[in-house]
Amino acid sequence: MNFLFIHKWHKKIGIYIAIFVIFLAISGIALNHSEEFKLNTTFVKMEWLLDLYRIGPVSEPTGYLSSNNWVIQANKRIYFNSKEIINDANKLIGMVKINDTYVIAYDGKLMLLNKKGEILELLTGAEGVPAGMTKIGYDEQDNIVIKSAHGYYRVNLGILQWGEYDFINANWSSTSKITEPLKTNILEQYRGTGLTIERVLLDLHSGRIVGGWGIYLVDIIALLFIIIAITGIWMWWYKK
Amino acid sequence: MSFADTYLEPEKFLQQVFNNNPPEPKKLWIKKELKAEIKKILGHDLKRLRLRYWDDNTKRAWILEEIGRDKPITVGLVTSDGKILDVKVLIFRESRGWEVKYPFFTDQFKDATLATGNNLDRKIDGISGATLSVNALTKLGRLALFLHKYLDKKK
Repeated sequence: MNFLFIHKWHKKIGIYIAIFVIFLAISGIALNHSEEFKLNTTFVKMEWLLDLYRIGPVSEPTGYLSSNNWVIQANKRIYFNSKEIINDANKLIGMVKINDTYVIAYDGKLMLLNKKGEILELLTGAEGVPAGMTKIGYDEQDNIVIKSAHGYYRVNLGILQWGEYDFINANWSSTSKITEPLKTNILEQYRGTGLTIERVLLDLHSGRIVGGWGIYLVDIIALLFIIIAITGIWMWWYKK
Repeated sequence: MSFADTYLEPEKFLQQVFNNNPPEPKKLWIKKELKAEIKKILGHDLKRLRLRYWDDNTKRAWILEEIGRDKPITVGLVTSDGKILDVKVLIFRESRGWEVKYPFFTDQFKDATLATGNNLDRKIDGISGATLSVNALTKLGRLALFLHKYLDKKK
């Protein structure tokens, strides 16, 4: 290999990969400052990109209706009417209204909301919520009734006193067919907050955005970076 | 992808704090006068209108949550006499920053009190790669002490 041969290929490769160097440097800087630039909390709105990532709930949203108010689960998100209130739920159990408080049961927790949909508080096992809830309902005295894997529980929310029983008759919360306008609204919201700019930038940076082979493409580009660096050093040393 | 690592069930935390006999939880309504200061401490609204806490007249236990990067970290805190007695990470849901669960980190909060501006009276040393989790725990330490002080004043 002579100097001219190396020089010729150093220039050629350099020109071809310059755009990648610039892009990877800029995206790397942006990712390093993801929080400051709010890339992890800014959502992509471009429909084609959302389609590319197949953003949308895997299964049909399920809903429970209580006193004209809905609680709806779409994947891990739970909405009170059209307001997102939880984003990491596994299983929505149901919702009941006691006095002016809506009680939503999910994942071993009870979330209490006022009629405006403001969160009053979240009760967990620490406050006595039984594990393995399968149903939520209310009895004639307006107590919350829970059916769980280990039995039936009744609680007065005011004083948080739990009682365990073999059986309790209750009005159980059950799924209802969600109205079409509300369902459309929820699905639009779901897509609109499903993909962050950070996610797209990470996938562009790693090559994953175009699938598995994109990673190998970025690997090849990285190898070319190494070749450019080595040939650059070699030419400097040769001339010296 | 999301996951949750439960290091200590909240019920067990309470049993440990109160020698297997936790008191009934009490309610603390987040009134106007609290809201503004809580917002200063957390950097955002609490998004709850009331909190529960456990008080046996010698110490108070708090189970609070704050988002580190994307997901809430559930933390148990014990306060007494204006000081933090103990901090334990109960449930961690983030993919990074779980090192805050270790005592080498949480022990820094022991005996911390509130200084001016509702800041802690000491610097909490960070952990590389866990900055946001460290910040979240520091905020919760400040919040627990602030709420403790508020309840003491109300007495």
